[in-house]
Amino acid sequence: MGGNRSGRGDGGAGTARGGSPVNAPRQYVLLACGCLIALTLLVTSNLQSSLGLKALDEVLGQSARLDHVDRLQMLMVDAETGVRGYLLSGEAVYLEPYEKAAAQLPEAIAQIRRDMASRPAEHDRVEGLASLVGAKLDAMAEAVARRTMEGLQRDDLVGKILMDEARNQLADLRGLINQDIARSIEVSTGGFQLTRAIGIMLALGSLALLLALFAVMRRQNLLRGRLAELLRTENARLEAQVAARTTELSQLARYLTVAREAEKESLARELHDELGALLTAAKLDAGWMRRKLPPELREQWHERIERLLHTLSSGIALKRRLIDDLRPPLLKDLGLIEALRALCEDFAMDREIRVSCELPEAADDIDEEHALAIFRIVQEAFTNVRRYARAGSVGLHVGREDGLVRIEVRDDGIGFDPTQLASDRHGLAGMRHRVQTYAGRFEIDSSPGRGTRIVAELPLA
Amino acid sequence: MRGVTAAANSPLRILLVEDSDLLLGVIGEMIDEIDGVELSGAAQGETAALAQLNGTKVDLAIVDLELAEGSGLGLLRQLRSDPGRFGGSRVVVFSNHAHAAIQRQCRALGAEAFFDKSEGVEALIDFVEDAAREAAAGSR
Repeated sequence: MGGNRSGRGDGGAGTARGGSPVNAPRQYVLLACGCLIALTLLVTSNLQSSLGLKALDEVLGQSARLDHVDRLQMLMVDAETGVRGYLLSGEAVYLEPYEKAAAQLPEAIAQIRRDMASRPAEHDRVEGLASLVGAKLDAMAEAVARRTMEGLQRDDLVGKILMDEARNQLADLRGLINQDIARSIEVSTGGFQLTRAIGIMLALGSLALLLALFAVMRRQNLLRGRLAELLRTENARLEAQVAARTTELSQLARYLTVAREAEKESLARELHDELGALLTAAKLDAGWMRRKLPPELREQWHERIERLLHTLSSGIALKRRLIDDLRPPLLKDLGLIEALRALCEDFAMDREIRVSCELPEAADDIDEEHALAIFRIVQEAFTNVRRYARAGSVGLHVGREDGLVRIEVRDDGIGFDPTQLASDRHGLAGMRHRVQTYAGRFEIDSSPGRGTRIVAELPLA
Repeated sequence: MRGVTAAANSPLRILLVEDSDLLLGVIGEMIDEIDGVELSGAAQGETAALAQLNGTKVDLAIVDLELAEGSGLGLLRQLRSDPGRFGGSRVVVFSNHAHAAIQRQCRALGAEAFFDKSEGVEALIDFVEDAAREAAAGSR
């Protein structure tokens, strides 16, 4: 829990690094635990199966030993039964099982010796049994011989005692082996219980591990979800901020454009009303003087008067140019369409350029501000063509498309690479800004040697 | 001048429409000097000019395009839309707006001639003198 809390505490400072580095150590620990559990499972299951096999071997060996003990006893009983039958009846037929059993007894004893060789402590007991069996065999052989030679005999007391003793010994041996079997089973049962306990522990460990993993993943998912949500809201906030700023800037740019145009307009008016009137009045008076000059003075003053008139004309021309630069000369008087047509005519007259001009029928619904912007864009585009394009022909197309005006100016001049151009050259930046001011779209399509096409779309709203 | 005697009978009545006081004076004097011409009035805006044209008989209106109120083109439009009301005066434009498109527009709106203020003074005087002679000949 402590790790969890500190991890979460770090989250604030480490947000940039993401959630996973915080959880990485915990994940490694979980992985290590998982590996450890799997390895332990492997080892214990291996151990358990080998232990089981060993125990099975032991039990099998001990039950074989029991069989051997039983076999010895059975052989002895067979031999004694045969001997007793012969002793009672004298029939030789009873001797056959006796002889058969007697022949097999040494091997049975040897087998038991081999069986018990691993237990030196029981060596004496085995040897005692062997000599007991030997004595019993001897006794039986003697009894058989006596019967053959001397006829019917009394009870074979010695044989019975020996047999009972052998029975006892064999029972002891059996008990001994049974004890061994019980011990083996006990040992392997203990082993099984241990592995069972280990198995339970491992299973519980795995379960805990799974739960921990699930918790970690869940936490990570939650964290990821929260981060994504955070990112989303942050993005939305930033986008809204950018949109707001853009609107603000656009409004500012629009305000500045309008203010600048208004200033220019006022300056132009001043130039026209005051300076224009002064120059024109002077020129008119100078002209009057030239007309009214007495003939005798006319010759003498001719040069000065002509120069004065010329100077005044130059002044008027300069004033006119200044005014035309400050405000579109025709826009107010003629309206946008005629002003644009006049612009095209001027352009065609000015230069040896073929100018084609496609304009809409009417533009009465376009307000003064937008009309001025459209006029300025075309004017700037023409200025560019004049200055840089070296074009043979230029085409102006102004079209109306629902709610916006589309201006296209194309020329067949030398073109340029728009990606290489300093943003400021060619007055393109000015055009772009003007279009952006009115939330429009501006597009330049040009490449060296392929002419230039400029498209500006201006929403009228 | 030839029209002196005729002019005394019925001078050409001229209305000068010009927004600058200075130019109004200079041009007024210039026009006034021409024989057979009477400067019957002056106006600095479109509405004032229309009022004068409506109230008094004017033979020739000399109109500047840029006015203190309204515009010369507006005046031309008004005259064209209702010629009877304004006595069917002849109109010429005397302006700095030398652009061909403007000149065309003026002619389309009924202006007989277009004179550049800076270069066309002599032509205007010639035109007025001719008009004065024609008026005198007509009234004879």
